[in-house]
Amino acid sequence: MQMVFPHLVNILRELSPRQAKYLDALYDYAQKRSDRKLDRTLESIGFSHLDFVRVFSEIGLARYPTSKHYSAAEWRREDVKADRAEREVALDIFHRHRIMVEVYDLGEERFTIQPRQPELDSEVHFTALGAQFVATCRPPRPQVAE
Amino acid sequence: MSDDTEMMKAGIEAVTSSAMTPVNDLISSLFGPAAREAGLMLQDHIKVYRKEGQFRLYIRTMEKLKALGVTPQRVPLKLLFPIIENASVEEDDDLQDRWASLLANAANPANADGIPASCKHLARIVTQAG
Repeated sequence: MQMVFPHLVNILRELSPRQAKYLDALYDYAQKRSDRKLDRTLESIGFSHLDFVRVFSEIGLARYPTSKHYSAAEWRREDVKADRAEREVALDIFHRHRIMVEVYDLGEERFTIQPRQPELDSEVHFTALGAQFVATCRPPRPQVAE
Repeated sequence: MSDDTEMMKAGIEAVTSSAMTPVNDLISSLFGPAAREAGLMLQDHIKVYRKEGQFRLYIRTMEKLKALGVTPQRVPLKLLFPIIENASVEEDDDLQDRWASLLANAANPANADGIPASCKHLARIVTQAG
C-alpha cells in the first residue's frame, strides 16, 4: 500500500525530469538486488560510487557512458565532469529530502591500520521515505492479499 | 544626419539605457492604450494552459484508477490542491505521469487510512472473537 502525504508533493515538485528518471532507475536497481537477497529490504541495499555511475549510464543519462571506474585521463574529460556534476547535484537533492542517506562503515578494524588515517567506507541507502516516495509516484497496483 | 535619424537614435538610447524598466512599462509602450487588454490576454493564455494541464492530470488519473478497477475516494484538500497546482504547470510528460500516479494513489480507497489490509483483517477477527 502507498501512503500519500503532503510532503511527497514537495519532493516531486523539486525534481527535474532527469533527476526523477535517475531516482526511478536507482530504485529499480535496489529493488532487483533486494529481490535476489530474500532477507534484505530495499532500504538495506547500499550503493557504491560505481553503482551510481553505472545506473546513470544504463538509463542513457550519461554524456560519457561507462560501467567501470573512470581512468585518470577520463576524469579530465569535459563530458565526464558534466556527468559527475549532474550526479552530485541529484544526490544532494536526494539527500536534502532524505530520500537517500549516506551510511559510514565504522567497523573497528578500520582504525587499526597505522600510520594511515582510517578510511571510512560509505554507502548510500534509500530511506523508508525515499522508497515510499518512488513507489507512490508509480501507478497504483492491485492490493495483494496479505 | 536627418532629424528623423537623430530622433530614432535618441529613442533607441532611451530604451537601452533603461534596462531595468519593469515588464509592465514595456507592455504599456508596445500596446499603448490596449495594454490592459494585453495583460488580460496573457492571463487568459495562462489560465487556458493550466486548465489543459489539469485536464491531462484528471484523464491520466482516471485511467490509472480504471485500470485498477476502483472507485476513487475523496482526497484531503491539503493534498489535492498542491497536486493540481503543480501538475497543471508541469511540462514534462514523464513528470506529469508521476503527478497523476500520486493523485491516483491518494484517491485509491486501499490507501484510505494507512492501515494495511492484513491488520484490518486481524482487527476484525479479534473483534469477532471478543
